[in-house]
Amino acid sequence: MFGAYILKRLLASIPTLLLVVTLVFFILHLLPGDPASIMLGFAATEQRAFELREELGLNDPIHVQYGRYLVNALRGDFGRSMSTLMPVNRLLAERIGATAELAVAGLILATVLGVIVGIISAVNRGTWMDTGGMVFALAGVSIPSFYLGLLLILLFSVNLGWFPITGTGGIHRLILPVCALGFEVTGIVTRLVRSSMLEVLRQDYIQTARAKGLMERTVMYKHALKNAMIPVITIVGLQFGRLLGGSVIIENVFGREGIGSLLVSAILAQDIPLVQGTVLMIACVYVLMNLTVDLSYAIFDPRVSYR
Amino acid sequence: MMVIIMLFGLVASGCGQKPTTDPEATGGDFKIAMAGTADVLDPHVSGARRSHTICRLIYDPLISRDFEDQSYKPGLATEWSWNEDHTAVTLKLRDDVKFHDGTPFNAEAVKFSLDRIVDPATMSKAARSYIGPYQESVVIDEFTVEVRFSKSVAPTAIFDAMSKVHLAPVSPTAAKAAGVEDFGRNPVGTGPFMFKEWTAGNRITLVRNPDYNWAPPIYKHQGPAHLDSITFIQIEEAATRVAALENGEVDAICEVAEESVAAMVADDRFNTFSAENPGSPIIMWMNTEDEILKDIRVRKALLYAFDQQELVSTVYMDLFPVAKGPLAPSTWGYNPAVEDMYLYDPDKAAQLLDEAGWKLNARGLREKDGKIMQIEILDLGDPRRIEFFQGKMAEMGIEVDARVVTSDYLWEITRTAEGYQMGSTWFGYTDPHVMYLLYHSSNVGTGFAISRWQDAELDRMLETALSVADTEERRQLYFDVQEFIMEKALMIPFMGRQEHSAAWNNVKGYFLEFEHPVLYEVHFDSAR
Repeated sequence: MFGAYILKRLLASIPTLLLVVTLVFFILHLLPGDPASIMLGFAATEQRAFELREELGLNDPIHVQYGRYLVNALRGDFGRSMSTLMPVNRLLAERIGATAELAVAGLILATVLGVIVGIISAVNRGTWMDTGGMVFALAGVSIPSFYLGLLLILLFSVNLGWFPITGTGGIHRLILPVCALGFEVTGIVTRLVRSSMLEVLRQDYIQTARAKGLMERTVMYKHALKNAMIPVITIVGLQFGRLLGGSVIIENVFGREGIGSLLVSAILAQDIPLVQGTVLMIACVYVLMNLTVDLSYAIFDPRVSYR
Repeated sequence: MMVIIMLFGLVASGCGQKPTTDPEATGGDFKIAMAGTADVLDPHVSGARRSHTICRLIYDPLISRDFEDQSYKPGLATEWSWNEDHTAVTLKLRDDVKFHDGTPFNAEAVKFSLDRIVDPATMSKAARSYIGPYQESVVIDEFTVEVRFSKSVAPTAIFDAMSKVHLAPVSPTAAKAAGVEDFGRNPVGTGPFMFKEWTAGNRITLVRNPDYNWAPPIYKHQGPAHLDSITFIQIEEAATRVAALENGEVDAICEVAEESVAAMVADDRFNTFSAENPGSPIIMWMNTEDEILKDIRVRKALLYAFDQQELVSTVYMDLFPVAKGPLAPSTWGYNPAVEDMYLYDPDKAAQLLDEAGWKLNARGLREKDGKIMQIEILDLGDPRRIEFFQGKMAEMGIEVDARVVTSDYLWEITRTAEGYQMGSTWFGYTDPHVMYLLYHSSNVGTGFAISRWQDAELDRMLETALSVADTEERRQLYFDVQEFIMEKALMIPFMGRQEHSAAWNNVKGYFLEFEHPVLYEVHFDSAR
């Protein structure tokens, strides 16, 4: 039952991915500038540029190029990067781990911390704890991640020496970038959890649960929170896209390699195959993440069934 | 003022000085952070600046260039002789060199490497243009090779190319086995360091070549390097690079941002280094075919209206050299006479504009025949100098629109006369020959000669300078070229480029050659 649903959803995501690929393809081909001349750099003459375009298939009509790209993509062949001559797959494989690690950890941090602070705020509404929570959330959405990253480096790496700055691998290298990246989404989740909880706590069934003599803790977590989480899950899923985008900045600030920085340099070099491959990869990751989020509704909302 | 004096002192001591080496000092893993990283580690293919910083350790050039007086000294080639009409040079090679994979270095390897550069399958970016009209190489005997050109060349221009790592020999065995696509990730050369690994896109590690024994005479010692390994780490964000140095994660950093230089200089824990980049400084080209700019009076007016000293002092804290001509002051053959040709004179500029018919209207803008003077500039993205330029032009009543573009876009758009009015570029080059690339009429429309000025007289001067062998005669010719270019007002010089670098004070033997840190003789003299 579950399996059939997953398959259906995956098939349904294909049109989305196709649309993404098509858009990127046509945008790249509309950009001014000739990729062959760029690749050849100083050695570019009319003749050589033409020959190179022939080799790369860039002189063919655009629908032919598009068709060829789709056929290759279906076979998992995304061609070679024009700026480094290396296979696109290899470049992506080298770097996807670091970005995924960063974005997923950011999401987990944002969700866990956001839920905790949101609940505390909601349950202690009107007290200093609520105010504190809301200031925390406001700071999250106001402070640019770039700036926060540099502040964290200054305090925790340079002054206190607790964490290293560069490189990947190991939890201690992940903590600062994840905090910088996830803080904004944490703020968003906090506010949402708080308002959602307050909304739910006003409902009649909460009164009923209390009247039935259930422990406050059971009322809170088994009844209130579970229901409060439904809109939160939707938002969290959408925020993952923001985290993927934000990873470009954070990768830059912390000197981490990743898909984000790869994409930026590929765009600047007008490296068409690399840009296409990277964008498609990001789109796939996003689609999968959304699917995971949707599936988690089943845990929280028994009304949802999967057919 | 103190800062300037200190900086001059450091410049004097930091570059061009022969490093002293402590024979006891061996070992250590050196880490250096740079803003960029290599695209590929194949010197024949690469176009990225930092590829060459790293390749200088993996490969040896055929000829070396003295750090102090720029003269040419032996490298992998020990002797050379040109034929009568400068169409061929015979190189005698060292016989005691081998590649990291054990392949012996010989004339065949040189032939293979030079042929590889011009092979279309290599898709060489920079090397292809440095090698000039290369035709073929002929192996005379095991350690003698004759390099032939299809037409007469300037020996100094070819030596300049051969002293760059772009033309360095690569291991034929490894290059053939790996093919062009993979050799760039698995480089094999003859240099003092061997490639070990390239992790995750931005961290490259090299290890000492224990057999190395053939460093050129420009270095104090010729044997294996002192360090066990060198790791190049890419950190794009300037503030993060400084932080990584301060918390000891790296031993040295390049591209210290202007804001941080003063703090680095004042901090006892670090030594700072500074080197001016030779070649064409940052210049704002004027399209001499444009409606407005084809009038030389207008072009001269713009030159008189721009104050390079103010730009460097107020915006760049005097950390960059002033440029008043087509060559950066640190380039061999720089002519100081250009410095007096267009002293800042806004009154003269106004007068010239009036003479050209561009008069100030009621709104304070320059107008001629009912048209307001509007110029669009294309810049590669430093908002500070763009804004300064706009400000200076506004004082003259000229409206300037600025667009930030990528260098690839600029390259493309400047091929045709209609696409642009003014655009800024720079071109790092160790020889005044760069002016041939940028000002000879044959390069109009290639993306190089952006002023589009075609002048038989200038062409003749540039061609003669190319073929002359006598150093003094050549220098004088290039002096004339620089004055000629300024006389014709083809571009507005903005500023020179300067590389700032910093290292922990236990790092010895580190210095800059133009924009590249020279790491062969680096060693640690104590623990931190």
